[in-house]
Amino acid sequence: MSGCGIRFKVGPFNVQLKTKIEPLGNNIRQLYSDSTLLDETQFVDFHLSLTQPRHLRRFIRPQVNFIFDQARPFKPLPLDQACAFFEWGLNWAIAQHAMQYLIIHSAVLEKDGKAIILPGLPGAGKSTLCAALSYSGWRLLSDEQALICTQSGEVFPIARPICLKDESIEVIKAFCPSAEFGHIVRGTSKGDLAHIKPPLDAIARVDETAQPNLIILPRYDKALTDTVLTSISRGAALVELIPHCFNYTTLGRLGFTTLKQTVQQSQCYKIRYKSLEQAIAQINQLHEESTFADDPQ
Amino acid sequence: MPTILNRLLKDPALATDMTIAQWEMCIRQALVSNMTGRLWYILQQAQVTDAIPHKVQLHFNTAQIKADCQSRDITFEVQQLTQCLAEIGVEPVFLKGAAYVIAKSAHQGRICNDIDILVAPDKLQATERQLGKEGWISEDINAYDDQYYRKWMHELPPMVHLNRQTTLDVHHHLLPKTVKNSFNIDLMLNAAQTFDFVTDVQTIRIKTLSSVDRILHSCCHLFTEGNLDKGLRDLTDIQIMLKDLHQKHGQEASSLLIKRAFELGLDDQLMLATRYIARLLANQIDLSAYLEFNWPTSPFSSIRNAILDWCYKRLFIPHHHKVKGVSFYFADAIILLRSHLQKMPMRMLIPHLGIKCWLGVKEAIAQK
Repeated sequence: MSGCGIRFKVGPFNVQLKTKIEPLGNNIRQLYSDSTLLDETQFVDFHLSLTQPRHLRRFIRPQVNFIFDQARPFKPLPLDQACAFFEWGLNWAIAQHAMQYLIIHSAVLEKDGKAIILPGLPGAGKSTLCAALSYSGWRLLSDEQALICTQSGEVFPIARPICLKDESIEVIKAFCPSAEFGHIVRGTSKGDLAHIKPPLDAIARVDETAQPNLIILPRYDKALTDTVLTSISRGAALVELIPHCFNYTTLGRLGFTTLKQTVQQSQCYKIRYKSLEQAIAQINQLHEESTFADDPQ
Repeated sequence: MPTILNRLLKDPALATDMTIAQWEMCIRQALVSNMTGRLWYILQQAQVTDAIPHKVQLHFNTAQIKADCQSRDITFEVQQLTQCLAEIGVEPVFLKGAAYVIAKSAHQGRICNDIDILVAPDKLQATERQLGKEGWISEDINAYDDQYYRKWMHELPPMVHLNRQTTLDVHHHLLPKTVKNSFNIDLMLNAAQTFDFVTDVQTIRIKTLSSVDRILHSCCHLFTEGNLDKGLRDLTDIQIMLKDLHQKHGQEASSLLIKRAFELGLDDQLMLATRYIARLLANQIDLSAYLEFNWPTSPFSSIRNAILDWCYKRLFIPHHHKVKGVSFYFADAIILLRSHLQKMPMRMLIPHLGIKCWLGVKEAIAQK
């Protein structure tokens, strides 16, 4: 992967990655193996490279730099976090350079053309729920960023690997035995980390957009016995969502109108759950009701 | 062969006939030159945007949205600063990016990193104290740098707002104190232009340099600057302001500008700016009044200009690793040397330069 690197499609973006770090190359080849490779005739949006700094430190405590074309927006990280660094760096590149979308920090999945948006702070269990749903009949659109087109209001899929942390790694290994895990990194600033490869269907249909239909703010709570589902008003949902947006302020009025449209066409809930099975059953039921009863709240 | 960004700036019509690979390189070059939004504006003015592939347009739209967002932020900060300093009877004069937004000239598609204000030298201490009360604090720099700023520079050490993270440079002159025979800043302060900002509750009077002085400040900055990574963008700033000045004053514009340049001792910088605008950018206005003007010469003028032409030709390009050749680093070192010589006497400069040269050579070797 040295020379000219690889150029591949990541949802609506074309990415070029150059690296000489073998484990990273292998991990990317594994996690992105179903993605479309691009040739020189296609426009690349982001030119990324991950390199080891030259200085002597590389022999004692090796590090890795994330480079966006020729800029270095972050401080280096320990070398064994290169795979996670690529994912975080790509998140940053998208959030900085894709103002055609309102970008919400959330998981998004689709069924019957209707999207469910699961925003959440780190630790709320959004990625765990996202991984479980993507192996339970839902199509993965994104684990990390809901890309809502400011022109059409549709959600654009990006279908990147799902990032799991700490105990959720074991939970998902048990829940979806067929899920393919990349390299597991211990002890990052965010705990233990592992990425799972997106299901094949998610990549094959990555150009099929969806309409927002449900917004559910999840919270994992192990003290619970039963799943608690609470309906919230659209106004409350809008206020809850603003801090989860990466580029709400930058978009100005367009940010507000896009978010308003998103909540207006969705039903909004909070869910507190302990059991993944129960949460998924509740979400399926909400989806059935909202999709087929056609009931404007 | 000039870079694709340079070719497009010289001839925007080229946009109708570019390959995807050229567009890809063009966006990369525009991004490192901090001028994607500006390039979009130039292409819009030339009415060639329909020919731009959709994926490329998305990058231009992003740049436009970011520039619009920054204009809103600047407008807010400008009002805050003006009102904060009005309490102690100081009227800050906004410079560069903030001034362009207020005056709506050369603000198109522009992104800047900080806000610059100019205050009368005798109001500097009071200004710093008052800004501190409003949450503007000096950036964390070492004691040597702090001392250096206060003793030799034309501005205070950069300040940052505690909550909003905006950076603010407070100037008391446009050139460092080390510059010999520099103009009296009162000339510019007295000529400052006032704009009325009508808000919901009141009208705020905001000051910038006059339209002529804004152009001369930009020329002065660009041609005393040692680092030209945003040089192309700055050249387009001057071009847009020149065009606006000529639209407003017609035939009078060039004589107004030239007269003022001599008054302030910035004639050489104006000569250079118009020379390179004519050579590197698409024709917008008739520059012959500047190009044919009888600028003062010395026995060394023609050789000096030949050297500067050689250097600036290599530096007014996107500073992207794919297009920087070996001669770029030579030109860069020469202009850096010149920039320091313009600002510092030799005895201060020599130790400083030893270090800079060494770093330049090291970078050249590392890149090749």
